[in-house]
Amino acid sequence: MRALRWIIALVCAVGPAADLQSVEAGAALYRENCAACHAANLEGGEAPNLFRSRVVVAGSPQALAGLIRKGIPGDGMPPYPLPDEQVRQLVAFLHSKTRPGAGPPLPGNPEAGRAVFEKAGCAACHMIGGKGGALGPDLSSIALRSFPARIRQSVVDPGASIAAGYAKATLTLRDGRVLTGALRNEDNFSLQLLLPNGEYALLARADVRQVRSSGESPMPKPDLTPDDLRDLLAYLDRQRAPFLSFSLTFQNY
Amino acid sequence: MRPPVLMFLLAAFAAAQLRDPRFDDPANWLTFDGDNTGQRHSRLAQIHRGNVKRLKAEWVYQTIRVPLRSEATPLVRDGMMYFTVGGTQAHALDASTGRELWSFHLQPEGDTGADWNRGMALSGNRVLMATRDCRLIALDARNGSVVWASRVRAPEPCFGTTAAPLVWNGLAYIGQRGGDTGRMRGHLDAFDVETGARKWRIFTIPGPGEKGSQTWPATDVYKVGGGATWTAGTYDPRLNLLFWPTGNPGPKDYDGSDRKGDNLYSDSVLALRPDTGELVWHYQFTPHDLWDWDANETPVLVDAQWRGRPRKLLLHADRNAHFYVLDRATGEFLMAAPFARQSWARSFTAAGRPVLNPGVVPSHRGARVCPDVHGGTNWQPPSYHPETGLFYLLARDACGIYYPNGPEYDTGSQKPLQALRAIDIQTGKVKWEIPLLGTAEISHAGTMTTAGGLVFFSSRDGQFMAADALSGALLWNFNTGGTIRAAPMTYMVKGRQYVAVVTKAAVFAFALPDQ
Repeated sequence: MRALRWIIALVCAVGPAADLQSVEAGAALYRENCAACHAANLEGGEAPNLFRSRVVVAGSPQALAGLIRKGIPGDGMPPYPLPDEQVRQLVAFLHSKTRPGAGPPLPGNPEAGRAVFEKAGCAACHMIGGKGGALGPDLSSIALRSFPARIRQSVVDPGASIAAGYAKATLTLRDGRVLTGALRNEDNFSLQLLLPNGEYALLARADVRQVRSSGESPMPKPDLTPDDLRDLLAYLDRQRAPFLSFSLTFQNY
Repeated sequence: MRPPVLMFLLAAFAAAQLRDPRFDDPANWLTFDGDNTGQRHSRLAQIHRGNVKRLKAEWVYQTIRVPLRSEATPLVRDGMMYFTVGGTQAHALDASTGRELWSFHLQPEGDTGADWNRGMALSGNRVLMATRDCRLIALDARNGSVVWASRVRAPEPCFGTTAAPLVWNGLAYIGQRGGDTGRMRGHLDAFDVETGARKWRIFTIPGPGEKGSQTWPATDVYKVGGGATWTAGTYDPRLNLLFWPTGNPGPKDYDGSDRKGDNLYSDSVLALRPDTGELVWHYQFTPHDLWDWDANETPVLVDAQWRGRPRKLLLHADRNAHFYVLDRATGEFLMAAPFARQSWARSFTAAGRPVLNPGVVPSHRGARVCPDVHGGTNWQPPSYHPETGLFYLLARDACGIYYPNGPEYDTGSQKPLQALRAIDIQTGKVKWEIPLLGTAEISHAGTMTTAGGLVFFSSRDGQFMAADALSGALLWNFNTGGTIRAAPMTYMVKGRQYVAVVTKAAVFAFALPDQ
């Protein structure tokens, strides 16, 4: 139990989440000072798209603050010698928009959301903090990997975008067995199928007669009240543990 | 002369008694050293001295982030392979194809700079690893999800935890690095595998009034006395003893003026009760070490005939260039013999205390001593073959000039020589060697033996090799093209034997061609 408490504490405590007031004040400052050139949605116009700015997306807060204060001489970006507090608010806003897990906590009741996660059956396939099933992606630090809008879409419409290596597949083997699970990897020579019980079927292509992949998500559309959905999203938004567990899949090679 | 078959049966029987039954299936490689004995000997024999020439690369798995490096020995259970890189990454692979099943990346707290790691432990459906930020974490073996994460040390001071954990009877034992920092008192910790709660911690340096404290001055120096535990230990289930080696004393490696005395239990092997950490016996290889000769080399457990009667032995090849044979039930000293160039020990007393040669204490004029600071060997795991009775290790001949504030290479002497050496455990004599030509001077590549009559080993410049374990004839090599600072292992999937080794940040697996 001590370990569980530790994990809960970690999940709640970690994450450079900004407070809502700072982000809202930063948003106002952005509209006032930056939006004319970088566009209200940060995607750029006269000035560059901020989602593609290395200092915004990956740099330190200090580096971004310095750039705001001093500008970029000869590059059209003028200096904004704002008070320190306002620069901090502007940085908080930019980070909340461009970095998963850097935004203010979503509204809702995370504890109630945890109950929804259990009750709605999410835990049968998804792990958080090492508890739950293995058929779907681990959600322990999902808020550090995805923006709230993306998480929401994955909950309300599971088929909209399936995490690589988690599509549902049915394999017919040459010995007549039929296996269904998530096809984690396949190539011309081998297949690795994750079975619903969490075990792997590690197969040679030569032993497989047919692979049927429906392109569907194995995840059913959950039936949630608006309150349950809000609380569930609030719970998932708190999953900011600094452990990033993910599969690389072939795109990374 | 007894018939060889009988000898073999006797050896097999002895091995079965010493080996924990959970390691009975030779298809799996379940601990850093393969099992609880530290012998790094596999009973698989599909690949043998008659066909090893046909061994070919079967697959390679490359991790994406350098400069992290891996010193891990991969683990394999039921066709799945697990290994670590850099104390922040864990990977699970299909062991027959090298395809990734899951991958885990830790964002460490702070930067200890300890960017290497020696691998994992397995317990049920959990894999355990130590991290660059001094945690021990348990991952679900199926998907890499974090089950628990416990602190081995607080962040300040944390020097990185680099050893592979060892699991026995529901406890995970993990050692700690940092002995050379002048800022730590060595310790060994046991964690409950189920909950992640710490069950016990013992310090390797006694506090005031504790047994062994008379080997230190009555000052606060014990708080920074070193004796780190940065490699994995071994255990004997019948004797109910855990064996763990310790590193050199501190706070200053080469200047002992503020730590007069033997400095127990630095540079020692400790025999401990597994459930409490109680010290049953110890043997110190280098009393009052002034040369940074950590004893973190594997305590290898062997049951063998010794001077005409069966004995439970502990074999240890130390960084101080001597091969030791102890009775592991009592700690009794049985033999010490040099296996590499050495000039510091004149002889050993019957109780096993080394008698020093004159002029070996570091001085402002410089004391020329062999071996140098990197040692006659180092942590790279050795191995033992029960049928040849030989002990295999990567040894090194080199001397250094030692000053109180640090050592230098002895530029006047020849270039250091590295070699695979096979030591006859009955005599301590080197029976044969394979010099590593043209290779980098300091290698940390370990060895493994197999029932196919082979010893596998590597050089730092990336050659992975196999030799006849009896004759020392070099039979096979493969250039991996990357630094090897790890030891090989072997396993079997669907009737096919594989041999694998980790290079800087990749795994190579080899097998015989399909028939």
